[in-house]
Amino acid sequence: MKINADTTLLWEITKSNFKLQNESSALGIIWYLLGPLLLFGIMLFVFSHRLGSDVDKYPLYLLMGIITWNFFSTGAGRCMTTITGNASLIKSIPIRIEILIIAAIFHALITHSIEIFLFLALLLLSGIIPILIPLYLIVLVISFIFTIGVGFALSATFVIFRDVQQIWSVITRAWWFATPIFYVPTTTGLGSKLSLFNPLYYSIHLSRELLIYNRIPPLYLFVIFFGMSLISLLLGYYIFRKLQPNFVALI
Amino acid sequence: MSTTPAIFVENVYKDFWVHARTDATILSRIADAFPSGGKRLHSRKIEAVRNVSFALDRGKVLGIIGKNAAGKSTLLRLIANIYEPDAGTVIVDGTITSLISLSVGLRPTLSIIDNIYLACSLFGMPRSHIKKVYPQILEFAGITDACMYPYQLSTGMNQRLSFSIAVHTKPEILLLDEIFSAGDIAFQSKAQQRMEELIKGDTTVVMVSHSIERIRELSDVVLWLEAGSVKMIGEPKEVIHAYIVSMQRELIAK
Ligand SMILES: Nc1ncnc2c1ncn2[C@@H]1O[C@H](COP(=O)(O)OP(=O)(O)OP(=O)(O)O)[C@@H](O)[C@H]1O
Ligand SMILES: [Mg+2]
Repeated sequence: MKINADTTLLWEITKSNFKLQNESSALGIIWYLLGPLLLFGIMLFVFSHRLGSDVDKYPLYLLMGIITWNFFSTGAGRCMTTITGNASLIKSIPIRIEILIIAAIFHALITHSIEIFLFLALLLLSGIIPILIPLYLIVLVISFIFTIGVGFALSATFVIFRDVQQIWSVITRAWWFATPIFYVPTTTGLGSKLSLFNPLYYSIHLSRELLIYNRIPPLYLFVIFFGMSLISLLLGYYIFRKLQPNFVALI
Repeated sequence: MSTTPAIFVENVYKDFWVHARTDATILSRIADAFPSGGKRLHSRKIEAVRNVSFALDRGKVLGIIGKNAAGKSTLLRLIANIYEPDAGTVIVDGTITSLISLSVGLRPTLSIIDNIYLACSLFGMPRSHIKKVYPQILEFAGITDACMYPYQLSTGMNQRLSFSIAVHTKPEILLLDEIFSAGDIAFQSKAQQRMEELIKGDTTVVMVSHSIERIRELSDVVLWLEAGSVKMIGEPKEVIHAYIVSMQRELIAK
């Protein structure tokens, strides 16, 4: 009964988020996809003969990077405003705020899945048969866990400090450039060391290897990425629980 | 039947810290923490609820009265476990449906039917159950076109919809904050009738209202809250009488 009601709630909130975003219609989805596609088009135009000229299947390489990054940044970004955005709800109903946060990430996951489906179609069109999808799904689950952790931390700190939004946008800008989305990481030097500490590097690199190049990456990459995600979840949720008693009075 | 009360509240306190602004930033919080001139400039404590105790048996109705800012809504939120008390105990035995701010999470840009699904699931109803009751919810609220949006409804109709959702969730405990303020006379009597049915069916109700008439008609016990403390609790007639007398005295004194 309890779990049944919780899943109903999670589903209804995700659905209503989706509807609010105007994404329940085909036109709305195209509208949503327009952003990443435009970015993709511009970057392809700019980089394909420069950074990307010696990358195998550069357009797919670039697109996979953008899509994977987008899931993280939209998911985490939506979480940030979830508590303040649902103020009237939280103030009048004893709702578990965790459900609202998870629903925000589910919302991002739904649009992400649509992007992935289109990406798979593109792969097939380019003659690539992505047989390693089951392994990719594992990467997706780990990314989901990582994003939830960041989402918990962001949503809670944003209630207390409203400039977290500005700070986060600066951080994500820097993070975006530090992540090999449109370029190839160097194998030596500072950049390569930096990538080892960048969870987004793992999710993007693993996704590319599995889907585009049909290669099975070494196990330790999965393990490190999973470890990072677990830390993110535990730390994020810890911050969330620490700050939770202050939420209702501050929104 | 168990003999434990449905709601048990003992020595409950709740304070709020008021800072200069709610949209505080990291910088302003640091400034708050290191005040110049030796004292905190922007922080002030409001004692919203102070040492409140009462017990309410299953199927009874508690009416809460008191002036604006007396702490009534805060007390409801403490009962609903939306706030944790700073001190004291709140024990609630049963599922809660709360109608504390006017529009229970009605989202203006979702259609009414989507809103009903959302609100009912917020109150813990499974989908199959919602499917069965939503026509009754619409009928009770008097809404004929479920494809409309809440922002297209009048204030009173919005309130009717919220109330209708709340009473159709089969609550064991119902918390109501000022829900009779906007409905017309016909709806008020309909709502009252519905509440009497619920009460007969063993629903426990805590209601806050400025309309003394409603409180007198429905309550078994009345609690008069003043500046966060219980000024008086007991027989509706006596408490309401004392409350009115005190209000009149204040008016004359001015
Ligand atoms: N989130 C908050 N932050 C700071 N102070 C608050 C907060 N919520 C309520 N208060 C303060 O607590 C006191 C009690 O507020 P409450 O809303 O419980 O009053 P009330 O009895 O419901 O009043 P009304 O009849 O106007 O609805 C008030 O002095 C109010 O300023
Ligand atoms: Mg109030």
